[in-house]
Amino acid sequence: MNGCWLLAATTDSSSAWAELGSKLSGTEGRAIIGWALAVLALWLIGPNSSHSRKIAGAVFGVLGLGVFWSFVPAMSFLPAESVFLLLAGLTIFAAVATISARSPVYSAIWFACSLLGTAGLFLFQGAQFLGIATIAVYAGAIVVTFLFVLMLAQPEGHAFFDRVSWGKSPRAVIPVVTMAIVSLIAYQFGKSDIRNHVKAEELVARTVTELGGSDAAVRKVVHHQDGDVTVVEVDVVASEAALSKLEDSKAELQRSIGERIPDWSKCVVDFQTNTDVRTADHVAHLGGQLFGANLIGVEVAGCLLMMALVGALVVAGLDEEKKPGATAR
Amino acid sequence: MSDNLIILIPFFPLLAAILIAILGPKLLKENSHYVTVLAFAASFFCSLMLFFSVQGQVVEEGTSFESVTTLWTWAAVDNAMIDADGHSVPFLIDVTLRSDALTSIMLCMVTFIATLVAIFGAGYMHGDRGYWRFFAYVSLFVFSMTMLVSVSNFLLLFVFWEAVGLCSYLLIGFWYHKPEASAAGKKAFLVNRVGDFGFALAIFLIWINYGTLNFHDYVVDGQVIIPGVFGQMRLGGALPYVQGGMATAICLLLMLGACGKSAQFPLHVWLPDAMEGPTPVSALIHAATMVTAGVYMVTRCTPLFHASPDAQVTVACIGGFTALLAGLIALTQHDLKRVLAYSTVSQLGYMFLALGTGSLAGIVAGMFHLFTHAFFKALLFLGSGSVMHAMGNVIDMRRFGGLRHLMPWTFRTFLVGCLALAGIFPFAGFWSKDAILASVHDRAYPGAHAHDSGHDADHDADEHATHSVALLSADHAGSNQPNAYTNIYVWLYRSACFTAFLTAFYTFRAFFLTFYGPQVIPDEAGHHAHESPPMMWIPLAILAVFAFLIGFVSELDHKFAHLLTSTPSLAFAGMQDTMQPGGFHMDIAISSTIIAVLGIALAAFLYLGHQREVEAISKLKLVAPLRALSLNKFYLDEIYTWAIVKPLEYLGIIYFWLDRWLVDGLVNLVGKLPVVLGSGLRNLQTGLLPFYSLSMVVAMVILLFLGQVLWGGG
Amino acid sequence: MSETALLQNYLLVGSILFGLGLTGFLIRRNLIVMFLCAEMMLQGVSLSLIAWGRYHNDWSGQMLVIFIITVAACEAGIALALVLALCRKSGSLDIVNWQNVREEGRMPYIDQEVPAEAVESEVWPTLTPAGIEPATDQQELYRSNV
Repeated sequence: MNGCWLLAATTDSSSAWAELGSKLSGTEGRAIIGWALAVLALWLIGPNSSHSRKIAGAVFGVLGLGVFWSFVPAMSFLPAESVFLLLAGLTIFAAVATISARSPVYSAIWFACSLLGTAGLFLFQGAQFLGIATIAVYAGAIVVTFLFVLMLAQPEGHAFFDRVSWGKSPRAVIPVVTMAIVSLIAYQFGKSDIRNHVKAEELVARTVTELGGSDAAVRKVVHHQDGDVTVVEVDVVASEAALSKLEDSKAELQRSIGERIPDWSKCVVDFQTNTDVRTADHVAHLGGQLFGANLIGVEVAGCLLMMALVGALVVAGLDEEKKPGATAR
Repeated sequence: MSDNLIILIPFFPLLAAILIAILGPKLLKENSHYVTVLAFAASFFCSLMLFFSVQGQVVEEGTSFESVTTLWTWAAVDNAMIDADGHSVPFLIDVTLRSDALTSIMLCMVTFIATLVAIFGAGYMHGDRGYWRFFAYVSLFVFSMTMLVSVSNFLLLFVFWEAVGLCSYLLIGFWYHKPEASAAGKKAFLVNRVGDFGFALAIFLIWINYGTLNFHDYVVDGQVIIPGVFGQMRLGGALPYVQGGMATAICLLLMLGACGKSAQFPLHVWLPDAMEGPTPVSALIHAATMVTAGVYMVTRCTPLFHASPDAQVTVACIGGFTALLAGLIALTQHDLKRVLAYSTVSQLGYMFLALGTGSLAGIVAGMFHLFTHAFFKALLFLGSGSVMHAMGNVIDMRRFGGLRHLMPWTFRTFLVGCLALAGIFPFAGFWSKDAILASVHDRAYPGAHAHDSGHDADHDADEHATHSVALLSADHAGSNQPNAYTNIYVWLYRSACFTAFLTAFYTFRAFFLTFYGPQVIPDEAGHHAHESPPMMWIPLAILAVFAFLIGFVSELDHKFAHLLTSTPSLAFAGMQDTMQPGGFHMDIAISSTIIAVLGIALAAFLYLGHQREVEAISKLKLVAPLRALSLNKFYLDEIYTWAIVKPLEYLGIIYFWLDRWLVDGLVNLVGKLPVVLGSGLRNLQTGLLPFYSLSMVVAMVILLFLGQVLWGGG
Repeated sequence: MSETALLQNYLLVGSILFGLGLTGFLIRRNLIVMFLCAEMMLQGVSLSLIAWGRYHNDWSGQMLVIFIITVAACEAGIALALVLALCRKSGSLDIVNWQNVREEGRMPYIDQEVPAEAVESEVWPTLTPAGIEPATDQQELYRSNV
């Protein structure tokens, strides 16, 4: 068997390699490679790993992230791209550090860092209130509570159970399972007709900017197939004048999309106007939503907080003082 | 009015049964008999009224009379069958009650005996734990029996046929804690199943051949929609009866059913064992009423049997043989009730013999014997119950004797019963037995009594008889009754005469053993050894009066025969044309009386005083094996045990093991599967929380992956 | 800038955050760290929700995240109280201490061997020595302040 395989490999090596290469660079192949790299990285970066292993793990991790990122389209606007990558990198690095820190105190601090990254990502999305709330509530309150509890519970410092995992080989098995989720989601992106869509989106955006100037902005572009005709629905924020200009140049836009994107040779563009979530008085709108449509939810959440407060008091056991030395084990 | 009456007659016992069943255990208890006796008496009163009403109608309307009351439609299926002509036949079961001569006679007899038995039973069962239960069962039985004789449909007949079987089973096993009683109940039930199987097949065949199960014509607006099996259309000759092999098959299957219920050979074995039940039950169910259901049914189906001479001769042979066999067995039994039980089997055999003659005279004689037999056999059984009551439930004749001074009323009434059973003039049994012998004689020696008959007719100046005499001279060719079986009837006649002798002998043997000789009382009797209370002997006395008179009264002016022949089943051209009704033959009467007296004399010679002769005879080399044969009931029970019961038992054992190991094994295997799986999965319950969460996540990933693969994501 | 590209990038970050949180939750044994990891998973979900909300031009995403934060706060309160109670009972934050609810007859999980702590380069920061060591007055050192 091996001989045969070797023979085949030697006689037709070039085509075999090409085939292998195309397979590996295909969607499935990349998904599997990314998966394997991520698993390897997480396996190497354990709480009790040596520095060299951690560095190797970090390298594999970066490679894996790169592979995963190859599934999603780039944002094509370099400043935005770099800010996003910075924030995402911070978040992910801090997250990895959280789960691999040997000391729980470090874990908590790294988690706070990760939260900062997340808050930045929120801000990047235009969710200003949530970004600040995350920092205030999570990093400010919850993480500090964690640290308090840590101080209360674990005064003796490094514990053995922070170095090892449970069971026989969960450190090898668990990353396989969890990274499979990530890989599956990334694979979904890779499979879809996303690049054409992004290309069209950019074309539309460019056209709109050229024609409408500061009066018009593209909110969103969606497309769907209607037979062999691709319908591109463009959601724009534009003044009346800009919109009529855009309507006039529709045929031109359709033609250029058809030229640039071979799969969308027959294409119909449809402009729609809409209001934007990212309005200037964002927080006011958010508050309106929160205390308007979601008022009952807010009330319920308030009740929940109240009950949680009482519950926490009961569970923590104020009367525990009466039973000193209550150690079960 | 007769519509209401025919509904009320079964209604009262049913009401009593339900009342006692509901109120008996807590409320009525020792007073349950009031309800039953009142209900039976009311029922009897209604029956009498119905009887007179029917009699009046018969006088008005001439030879044939019936009145059908439809209560409700039980089942109706359109297009149930396509008959030979291509018409679709509906399956229509109406709950219908009929009143005609046959039914009204049966109803009177059943309710009268039931009333007396209930009164007797109130004394007999006094202090029993299941007092109310007894009366609930008896009431249910009387309801079923009255329904059985009054329904006008084969299916309903079958239903109540089973219902009386059920009551019989319940009452035989009344003392269910006694192993013999419960075994006897089971035996009765199982043996009856064989017969019922035949009956059910017969009903299927009737449905296939006649397209209806109704006795009467189904009439809408004076138009006959579905001609009934015994409807006026068929009886009038407008539609034919099935002939040939099919007719024989139907009749033989019906006869099988009748054999089961009426304890005829080879299914007679359950009746003697049924004596384990309370004695009033033996009197009511196993002597007077239920066991005659077979006779009733065959009488009702006379037109069917008329179509098949082969079946008729089979009926006669079975009857004659059973009568002889049971008589022989009864000779040596020590148990008073068993002697009476075998006597019942024997007398039922007589009835079937009479029915098997196929002549109107024979059928009337059979029914007449059924009628008189009910009185004197109930009397005898109740008398034996009285003896049993006094003797502390001892019924073995070797353990008591000479009771005539101790129990004068029982003695007197029992004597009347014995004389009636033996057939001594002028007791009831004499008239009916003579009628049977006469009818068989007519069949065996056709034409021998032509003169007598004519004489009879002159004597009676009865238009009916005149009619039959006129028809007697008519050509026989039109009938399908060849005289091919004459030889058989000759032998049957001889055997019947011999059976009459046996009957007289064993009856008086039992009588002498019980009431004559030195007074012997078993220890069990205790302080009970005295005459029964009036509540018990008064019914005996009433029955004795009837056993004395009923035959004589009925025979006056051929009243009974005249009434009975107005039943539609008996009043049809083929029957009326060919056969004369029973005539009174002086020569046969005298010879049979002489035979009976001879039997009594022999019994007196052997069993009065010292029984040296009996011992001497039993020791004879020739007699000893015969005696053993009779004592052991011709080893029939043993033969059945070895031929049927044991093989079935072994088969049952095989099936039991098959069920145990194969079927249960498979089932247990299915049951073991989860256990085995579980013992593997059990190890997953580690108690480690992270492990549980990991399992959850693994499952989630698998689902995600499957979603991806199967539905291409989404 | 393409909205779709933005959405997909965010979803990927969200899913990675979720996956890392899950990994940590399953691997780590420290109750508090596990809990932190659970919070991290919530963060991943929050990111996805915000991204979808923006993509669909809808407030619901942000509303949901607000409620997530609220519930997370409640959860943190109760869970930390629980952790504290558990810790008092067993004397440590190890989740493996709590495997009493297991199938009867099954042996509990016990660590076979605990690896030694990986050697860290414990180099403490040092200051360059400077100046002259001051003379210490022993009596001054031990004098009572009262």
